[in-house]
Amino acid sequence: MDASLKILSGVAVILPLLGSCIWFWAKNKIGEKITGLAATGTLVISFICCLTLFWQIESSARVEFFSWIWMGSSELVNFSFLLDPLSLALGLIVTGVGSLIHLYATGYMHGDEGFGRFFSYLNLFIFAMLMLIWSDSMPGIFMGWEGVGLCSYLLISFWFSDEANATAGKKAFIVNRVGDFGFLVAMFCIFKAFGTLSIPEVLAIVNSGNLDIVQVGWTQWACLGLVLGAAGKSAQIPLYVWLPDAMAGPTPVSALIHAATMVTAGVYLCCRLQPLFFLNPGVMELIAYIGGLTALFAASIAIFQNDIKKVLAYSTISQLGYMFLAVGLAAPVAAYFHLMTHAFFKALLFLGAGSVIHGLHHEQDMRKMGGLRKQMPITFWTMTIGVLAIAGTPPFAGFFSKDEILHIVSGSHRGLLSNIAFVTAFMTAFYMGRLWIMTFFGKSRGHREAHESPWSMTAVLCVLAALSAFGGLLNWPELWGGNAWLEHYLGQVVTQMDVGHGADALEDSLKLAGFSSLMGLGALGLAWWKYRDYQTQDFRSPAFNLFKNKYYIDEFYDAVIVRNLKRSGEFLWKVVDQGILDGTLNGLAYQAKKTSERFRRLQNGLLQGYALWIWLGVLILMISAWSVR
Amino acid sequence: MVDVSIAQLLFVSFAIFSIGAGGFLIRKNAISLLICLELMLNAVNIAFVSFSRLHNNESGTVLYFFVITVAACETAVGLAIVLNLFRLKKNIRIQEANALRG
Amino acid sequence: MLTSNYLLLLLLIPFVSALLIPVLGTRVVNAVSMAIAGLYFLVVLMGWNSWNLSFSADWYEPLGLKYSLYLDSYSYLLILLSSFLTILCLLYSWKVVEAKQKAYHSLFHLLQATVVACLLSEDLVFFYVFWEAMLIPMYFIIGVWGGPRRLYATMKFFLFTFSGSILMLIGLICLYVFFYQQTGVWTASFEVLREHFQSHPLPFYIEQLIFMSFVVSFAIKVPLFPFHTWLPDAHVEAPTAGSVILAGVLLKMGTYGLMRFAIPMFPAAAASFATPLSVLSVVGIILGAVVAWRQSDIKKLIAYSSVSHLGFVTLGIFALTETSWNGAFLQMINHGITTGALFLLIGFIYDQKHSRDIERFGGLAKQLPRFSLIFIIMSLSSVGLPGTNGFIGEFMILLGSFQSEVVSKLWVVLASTGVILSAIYTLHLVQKLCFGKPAEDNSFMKDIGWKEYLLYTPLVVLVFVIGLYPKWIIAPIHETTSAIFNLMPNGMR
Repeated sequence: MDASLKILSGVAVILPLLGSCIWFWAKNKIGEKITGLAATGTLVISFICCLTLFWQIESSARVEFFSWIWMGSSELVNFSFLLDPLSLALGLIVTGVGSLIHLYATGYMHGDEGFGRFFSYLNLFIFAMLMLIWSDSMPGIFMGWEGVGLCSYLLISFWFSDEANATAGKKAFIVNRVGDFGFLVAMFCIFKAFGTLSIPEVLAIVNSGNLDIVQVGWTQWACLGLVLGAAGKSAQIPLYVWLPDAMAGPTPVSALIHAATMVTAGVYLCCRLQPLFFLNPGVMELIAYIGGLTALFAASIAIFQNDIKKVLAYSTISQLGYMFLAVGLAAPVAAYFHLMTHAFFKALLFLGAGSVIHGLHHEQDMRKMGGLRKQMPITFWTMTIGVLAIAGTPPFAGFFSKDEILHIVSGSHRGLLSNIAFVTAFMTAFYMGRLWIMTFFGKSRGHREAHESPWSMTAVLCVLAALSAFGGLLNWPELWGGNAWLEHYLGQVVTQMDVGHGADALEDSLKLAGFSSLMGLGALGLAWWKYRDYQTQDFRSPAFNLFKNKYYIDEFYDAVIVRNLKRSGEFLWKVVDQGILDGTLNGLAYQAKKTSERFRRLQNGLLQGYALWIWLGVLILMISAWSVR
Repeated sequence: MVDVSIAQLLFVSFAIFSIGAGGFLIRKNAISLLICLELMLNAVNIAFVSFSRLHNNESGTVLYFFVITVAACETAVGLAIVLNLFRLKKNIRIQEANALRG
Repeated sequence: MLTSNYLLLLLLIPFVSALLIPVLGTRVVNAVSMAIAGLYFLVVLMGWNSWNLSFSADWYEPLGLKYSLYLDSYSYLLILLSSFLTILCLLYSWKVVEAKQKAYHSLFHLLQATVVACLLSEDLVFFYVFWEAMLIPMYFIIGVWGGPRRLYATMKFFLFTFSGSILMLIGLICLYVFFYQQTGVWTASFEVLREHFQSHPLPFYIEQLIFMSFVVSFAIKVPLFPFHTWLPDAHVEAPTAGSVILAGVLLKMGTYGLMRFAIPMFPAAAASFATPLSVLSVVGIILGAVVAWRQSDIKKLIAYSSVSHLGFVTLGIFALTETSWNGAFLQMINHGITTGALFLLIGFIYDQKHSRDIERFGGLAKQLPRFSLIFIIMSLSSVGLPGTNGFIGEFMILLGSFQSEVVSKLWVVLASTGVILSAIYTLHLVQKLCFGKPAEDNSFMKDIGWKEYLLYTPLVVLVFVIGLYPKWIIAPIHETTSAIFNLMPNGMR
């Protein structure tokens, strides 16, 4: 049993890594088609391994490979996996959606000169992501955490000849590193508090309840660090700025990394270390507010974006905000549920957008689209499902997951947060409607003849559309006669806050569901009314400039942080290093030289001068000898 | 034979030494400098011999022989230098021989 | 099992080869020199796991001076690193350095010899002699084969390190004389002195003064802020191979001295200075990183990054925990590998382009893909990405320092921001060099060939081997670390 787990999980992780080493060089040798299919194949095998693990493991299992960081004393960090509902569920999503997106990419990247490189990075990403979610130690998670950051960097700057792409990649990596800094500090604090970095051990200590006040104090710092780390990876305030720029990467990357999987790592981390957060209610509150604000903030920006991928990027930030909100309100199952459905419908939307972009020969501006419904029917219909899902229309997946979060927020008696959550839901439906209508309806606006994408892309769209449509079944609430499978499954490892088990719980929840779906439909209707025959007009009022310019956050960061850092670099170099330190030393050297310059004149080469000095010297000696006596 | 006191002898020695030293400091001709050097050495020699007689000790006389030998050598080398200086500069003015300045 | 004669072999091979090379014919110099370096590497490799050897012979009996050698895992690993890097340097210089080849090779072997002698010595005077002697070959390597401002750079390098050494000499003489006054025996043996002064402590302020005299000398070599300004100049002017040895080996002598001599000798004084010294380290980390970012000369950028990386090492050392020491030592080796590789890579493009201006490159990923791949791998190792060697070292240093009793957590957290800053300057370099469009016509540049593969492959392999399975190297490091910590008074552990 144990050996089979070891082999299965090992294969699932190692195959993508091996693949990534091979595809990098292989494309020229074995051709594009085989490379793409083989890369997809490795992922399918990984997926099958995950599936088998999923069936085999009842509740949780630990698989140890070999020791990694041996710090000298007894402390040891292993390469080992913790396979439990949390990690297995996410593993399925990663490999499953990953395989689909690989397949899609064989079509999307067709003919690109970096084809092999692309699949190499993509496989490497899957490896790092699996390390992230399966590792049972903090450094192991950190390895995956940074690994996915690296892949994200490489893939964003994939078309590196364009300086802007390279800059976007760099920005993503550096902003993520700010989060990683938080993660690092969190690790130090956890080690300080518990003397171990192994997650099961830490959680065992926390769950045992024998903590002294000092340890709790350290966990508070650890949690703050983790929040920073999670905010970096999951693009939350204040570190969300990298995600919109990350859209510079190829669209499959945006779908896989910047929507479905990597950006959810922060949510995963918070769920994984949930008991630690339970010790610090203040931090939980902070997470909830960060999530809520981010959701609202990003949604308000998304309404005014014209780049189809940017809309989706801000939408992703906003949806991640929902997940954080749920995590902060001690509802990890709801967060996880939304994470999964979001992975389906956001991947679908991104891939649909990719299909549109592909069909329009790399046109991303929605103002130049329009009327594509006839030319790209499959894309249109699948996108429609995606839009309905994210807008929260029953019975699509997004409806259930979002409804659960709304339910929890309204049950938590935090008026501000629940208002934010509802407003954001409305805005989400509105901007998605805007995207959908501007892209597929109305008249064609200045694009060349569009074409439907190849089968490898449309097939993937169909599968994802099916998942987005029926994903809600995963957690059909018990109140409505379902079996709440996900809740029970994840309930083995995480604790969900209880809301609504009163007498009129069913009535309440139905009211809420009805209200939210009506709101979603209303927002879609509003969008239809506003953008039905859109030409080039948009909101023109100067009041909207703030939204259009994304609240000037990038400019603010640039002015306050980047520029000052640059300035301090110049200062430290020119003033401290060259001015003060080197200046002092060069000054010393100069003074020495000048003094010797002066004494040099004594040596004038005149024999008689020297004789005079001798004479004077003798005289002085004699006088002093005489006076001493 | 007139009996001379040590003071008189030392005065002679001092006078000759002063003439030599003064000459050394103010003359410009290299040969004159050598002569002045010679004067100073001989002044010292006089002092040596005088003290030797005063103390009835032979070491002063012995030292005189040393000095006179060294002086001879030194004059030989000195004259050779002066000769070369003349070849180089076509004169033997000591002020112009300042190539060793710092 | 090896005997103590092995130490003599270690010491003599490079000395003899330094003397032998000048009498060889010009044509065979390269081959013979590389063969000797390779042979020497194998000889060193033979000694794996047989450390704790010692050897002693009289040098000048009346003053109690001895040729006293001792090999522990610290010195062994640094000798291994040095012999390894020497091979790479000589290989790199093949067909690149054409002028005065005999002297060049001879000096590299001489440098190796002095470094090995320094690492092996147990007698403080013996150590001091070779500590000074190390300067000479490096002085000539930079001064003869260096860049246009080499005179300034060598002068600065020499004066800095030399003035530090003088301080160390004073401290050393104090120890030596105090010991004589107290026991009536002349000796400079480190072990004897350490044991004596542990049981018969000197007045604390004298301990502190002597400790600082050692620390300043070592800190200049490391270099620790504010003594670091010689390093960028020396690196910029040094020939590529000189930079590699300078960064890879010579800087490590400073940290080695701290770990092997200064701190074990006066642990209490070390603890009392832990805060100011670790603050200097943190300043070095941040200053090095931020200044590196603003450089346009690639070599200068890497030199400043060295300042930053060695700040981590010294932080780990002054934190005085076993974990941070293990990490610090590992990071010394990592820095040798990674920065050595970066200098070799920069040398490779410099030799073709004759420019190190960061603005004049760009787009190399398209033109020199293999070069760029290796360059990016090495940059990531320098950033400390998990899975590469850099992470293990940095992580252990920071984790260990965070547990330290003597260094405030705040400084460790500040040091951790170095993680962000290192990403900034390294990715800046990668972007300017490899990404974007070429700034100038660089089409004449060639990608790496078999010779460079030979150079870089072992380095790349080491990056990942240490990054993924560091136990094989941490275990020996820990042996010496725990031995040193076991000898410290109880309060220190």
